[in-house]
Amino acid sequence: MKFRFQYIYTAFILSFIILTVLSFLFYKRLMSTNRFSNEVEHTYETLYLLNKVDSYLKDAISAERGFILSRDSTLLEPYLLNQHKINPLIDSLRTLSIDNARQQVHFNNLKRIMSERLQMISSNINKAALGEEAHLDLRLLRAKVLMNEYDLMLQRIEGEARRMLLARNEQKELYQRNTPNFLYVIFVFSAITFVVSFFIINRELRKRLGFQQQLQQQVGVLNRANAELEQLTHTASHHLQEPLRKIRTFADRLANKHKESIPEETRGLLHKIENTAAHMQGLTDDMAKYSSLITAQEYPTDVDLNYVLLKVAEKMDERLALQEGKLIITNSLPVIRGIPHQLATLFEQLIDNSLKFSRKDEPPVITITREEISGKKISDTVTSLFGGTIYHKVSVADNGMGFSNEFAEKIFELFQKLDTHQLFYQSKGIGLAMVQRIMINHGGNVNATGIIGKGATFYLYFPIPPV
Amino acid sequence: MQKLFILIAEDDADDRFLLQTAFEENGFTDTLHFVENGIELLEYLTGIMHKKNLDIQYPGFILLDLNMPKKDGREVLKEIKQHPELKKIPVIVFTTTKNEHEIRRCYELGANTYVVKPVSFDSLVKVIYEIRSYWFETASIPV
Repeated sequence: MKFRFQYIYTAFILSFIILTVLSFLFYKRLMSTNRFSNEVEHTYETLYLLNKVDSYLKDAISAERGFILSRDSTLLEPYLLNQHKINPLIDSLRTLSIDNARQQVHFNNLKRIMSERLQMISSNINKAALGEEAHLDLRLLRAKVLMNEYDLMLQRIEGEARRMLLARNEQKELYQRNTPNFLYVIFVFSAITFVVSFFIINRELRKRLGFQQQLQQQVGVLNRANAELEQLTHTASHHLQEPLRKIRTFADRLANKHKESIPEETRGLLHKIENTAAHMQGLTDDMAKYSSLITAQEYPTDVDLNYVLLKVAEKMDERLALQEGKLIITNSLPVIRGIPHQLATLFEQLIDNSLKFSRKDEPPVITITREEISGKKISDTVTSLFGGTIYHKVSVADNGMGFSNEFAEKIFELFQKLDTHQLFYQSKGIGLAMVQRIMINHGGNVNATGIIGKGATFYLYFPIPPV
Repeated sequence: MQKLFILIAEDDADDRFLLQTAFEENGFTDTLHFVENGIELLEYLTGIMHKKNLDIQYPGFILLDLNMPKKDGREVLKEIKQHPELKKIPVIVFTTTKNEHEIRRCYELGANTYVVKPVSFDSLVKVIYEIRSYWFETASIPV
């Protein structure tokens, strides 16, 4: 029921690319339209100014001719008024097409022709004013030649301006023709992506919802089963106590009241009844203890395992001394989130286990070590409970009887004993089950390895919460 | 004034027999009144409350078993200790269960003592002696 995230990633990346391309196209389009309209404006301005230059020159020429014919100085007015405006106009024309080298040359030529012609006009007017009429034909002919040159230049400038306008127009049209096609392709593509991702995400969500409902149902069933089991253990552990106690009391009463008249054999049998009832009472007691570990809702606090171990060691000191045992703690234990009394029980049971299964010929040595370990490195049998985080690994090693590794999991089962006969009186087979339960209560787990005749090591894994 | 008596709430006939025997074994002659469940216990106590003018006294103390049918010891304990009149009667919880949570809860509800029923008959006789002599001789109780 893994949710396929790659679909979402793909859909997201595609949408992002489409959005980027669209924005880029839009930007480019806007910029080119802008540039184009600027250029058109320039061209028209050029043509307009050119026209103005031309009309000023024509005014000057008609004033020149009029004056030569009539010597009426009033006819010179438009010439005198406008002649000095021509050069600045040509300069501004030149700046308008500063990026076109060919136009620059044309404007330079135009300026030269213009100044030559204006000089001619001015000298002609002067001569006319002084009444000098020599070489008038020649002068007029020269002026005509110059004017031909001027017309040619004007045509070239105009032609160049129009040609550029046309080229830009073509470019723009090509671009405008292609953009809609491209946009259309992108639109179709993005529409397909959109619809496909919609269906995929929809399908995944539906699946997930189905799983969730299934899960909820299962949780409901489990909760009911759990409540019933809880009831059952409570009944078993508490209600069984009463008849057991009564069996013991009556057996005791019988043995004591008729002390004199009971034969030895009967007394032995009564003793057996009493012992068996006591054993069973112990079992129900343990069952109650174990079930309280499952049902107890206690809130974890910060617990210093060094302190817990110190307290446990103090408590076990007598037994350790009795067996001449040693408890070695090689490095400092961590502070973890936990339930103090459960953690105390944990170490108590582990040390108790090591002492119980110590070898007759050698005093027990229990070594406790801590290291940090990544969750991925923990063996497969316990990993189902683990995430990928880091764990405190606390090892409790002893030099006792050990066990065969084929029983490495079995030893944690409730009321499981590997050796029934030898240790019947000592062990009820609940200690290690409690150890495992306590570790599970702390979000961790425990496993063990052993070598027969050499010793056993228990590994406790406490999760380190992410900072 | 009437002689002090002991009220025992115990559903189990064997246990009632054992208690009675333990009292006799100690040579106590106190009146023992037995009730078999929580409802009977409360009815008995309210009965006394209504007939107080007739000079009937409350029991000197109550021995209360926790596991009883109809209304168990915890509920009865709670009701007695919340009752304005009945809460003055000492209640000794006398039960098989030795459970930390149970013990704490009973004291929280107002139990005066919590005693685990002993296993051997001899210890039962001894415990009965101790309880009885503590509440009737060492301690002072409301009359």
